[in-house]
Parts: sequence; structure tokens; C-alpha cells
Amino acid sequence: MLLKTETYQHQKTLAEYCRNGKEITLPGAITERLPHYRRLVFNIVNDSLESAFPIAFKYVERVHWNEMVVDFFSNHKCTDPQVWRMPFEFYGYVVEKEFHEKYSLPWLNDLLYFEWLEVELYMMEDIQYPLYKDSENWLGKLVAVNPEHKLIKLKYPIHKMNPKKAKENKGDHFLLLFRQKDSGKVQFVGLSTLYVFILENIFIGTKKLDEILNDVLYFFGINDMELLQKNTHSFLTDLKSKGFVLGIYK
Amino acid sequence: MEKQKKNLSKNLLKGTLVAGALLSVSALSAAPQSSNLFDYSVLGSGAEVRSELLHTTPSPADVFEAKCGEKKEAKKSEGKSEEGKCGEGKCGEKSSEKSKEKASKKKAEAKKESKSGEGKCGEGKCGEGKCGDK
Repeated sequence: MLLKTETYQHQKTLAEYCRNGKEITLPGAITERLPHYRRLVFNIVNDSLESAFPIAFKYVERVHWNEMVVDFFSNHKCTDPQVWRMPFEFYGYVVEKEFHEKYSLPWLNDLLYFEWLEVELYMMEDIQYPLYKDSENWLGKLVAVNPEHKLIKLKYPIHKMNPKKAKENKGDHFLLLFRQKDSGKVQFVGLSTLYVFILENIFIGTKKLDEILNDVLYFFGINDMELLQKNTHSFLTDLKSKGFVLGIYK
Repeated sequence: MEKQKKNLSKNLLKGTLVAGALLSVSALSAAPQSSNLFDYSVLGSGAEVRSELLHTTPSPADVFEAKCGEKKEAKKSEGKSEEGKCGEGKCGEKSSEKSKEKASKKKAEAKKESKSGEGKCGEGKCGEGKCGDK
């Protein structure tokens, strides 16, 4: 909708005021009522962030949480018009401002990212599934998987334990997230390095499972192929029952 | 020999998530029977993960669909989080059919609805705590 320049300016002034609270004069506006606009807009932002990051909200001290939100609300110009994406901008802002160092919360970035990914996966556009055949006979075949997934590496296992405990377990922690086709629910699976290696090779889609397992023998120094096949089969079967592994490519 | 193996590994693993972990000495010399090589844990849905960590079940994804003034029962039945989204969450009305639709996961519709989070509230119609039934 086209706005008159004057109207646009008034809206912009009001929006600026809502964000930073610096006093303004708006023709026709009752000055003492303006704070209510700021309060209501802030409430929406604050509530969205609390709801998007319930775990972070619980484990970050309230005073620090409020400082981060107020700082973000006042100084960050969101680039995406969709409110549901705002938490991702908040995450980016927190990383950029290095609040994890300021408040000595080394796990903060991991936790915000982990919590955001559920929203992102849940809301993401559908991705076309590959043409596959239902089968559990994977050896010698290309394994087909649910394309609506993310595989991430975290420094702290904040998906397994509360952040205070996770702080003591810094390392390489891998997590698979995927959206179930029927329910739309996002599922989480913690993975060992070996299984991440297998899955990453499956995603690339150029090697058959037995070729991937041969690489596993090489990279991980395993010399028991039978054990490897047995465990991998059980792993893939389990993920198939959850709706991640689909079968084999047609 | 070890150096050659490392160089080959570097090339083959370039760009993968596991590269760093695999190229560490500990991973390359991992004992074959090392049980944690085969460890994985199915943590469940987001609500289940949060339930473990928080002892509650709100879904941050759902919150963008819980709009200004949904009926309280509808929200409870889906285990949705917070109050409404209108600054103070007091206005509007949403039929229970809505939540059934959501439960049956018509994704496209659900995504459209989710945008209502940008919405109608906080603009002066609600947020005064006068309208809607809750």
C-alpha cells in the first residue's frame, strides 16, 4: 500500500520510539499514551523469544536475559518481515555481540542454535522426497533418507543435559534433527562420530552402503566388518522406524 | 604411514562435519571395540527433549501458531506454550476446529497460519485485556 510521505514518517517515528523509548512528538498522538505502544510491541518480541528459547530462558539469569532482549529490541533492525524468523535474528545478534563471553555462558550460542533449529525445521518448506523403494536390505544399495533434516555439531551436549552440566562436557557432539512426514514433528537423535560419518556419506549419495562401510573400516581402524554391519543395520532400521531412513533408491 | 593416512583423510573428509573429530589422533587410533563408536540416542520430539530438560512440554514451533486469544482449552489440548500473542494475550477467539486441523498437520495451512504471529495484535485492538473469551 502506498503511503503519503508524511504518514510514512509518522509511522517510522513511532516505530523508532517503540524500539528505543526515546521521547518523540507525534502530531495528533497523546504523548502519555505512547508508552503503551512500546510496552505492547516489546511484550510481543519478548514473548516470542521466551517461547522460541524456553531452555535458554530458564537457564540464563533473568537479568542477563532481559539485557539481551532489550539490547536486541533497541539496536537490531530485523531484516525479515516474518515474526517467526525473529528468534534466528536474535541468535545471530547474540553471537555477534558475544554475550556468551560477557555473561560467561559458553554454551549459550549452542543452546540458542539448537532451540532455533526446531522452529526452522518445523516451519521449513516441504522438500520433495526421493523416489525410493521400501527395503531394509541396504548393503550394495544407495540408502534413501528423509531430505527434511539437519545434521549439526555442537560444542556442548545441551541436547542431553542441562547447560550447567553440559558446560563440563565440551567436545564434539553431533545431533541429527529431522521432520517426520506424517506428524510434522521434529525428532532429535544424538550420534557418534562413526554414525555421522556414515550419514554424511549417505547424504552425498554416491556410495553404496558397503562402500561406505569399507571407508569406515579404514578411517576408524575397525577390523570387524561383521560387527560393523550388524550395528549399522540396527541403527538404520531404528531410524527407519522413526521416519528418517526411507529405504533404498529406485 | 600415519602422516600419509592423515593427508589422505584430509582430502577425503574435506568439508564434512566429522572432519575435525576424525582427524584428531584419538579418533584415528580408536580401539575397534570401543563401544561409543556405535552409540546413538533417539531423544524423541522437541517436546520430549524439552520435557527432559525443563519438565514441561511447550513447543517453540507451536508458539507461532498460537495466536492472539486462542481458546484456553484448545491450547491446553495441544500442550501449547505461553498465552496469546497480542502483547498481553487477552483478545480474540479461535475455534477448536483450528486446533484439530493443526493436529492433523496440514502443513501448508499451518504455515500460513503461523504468519499470524506478525499480526493483528499489538496494534491496538487487543492488549487492553477487554476482548475475546479466554
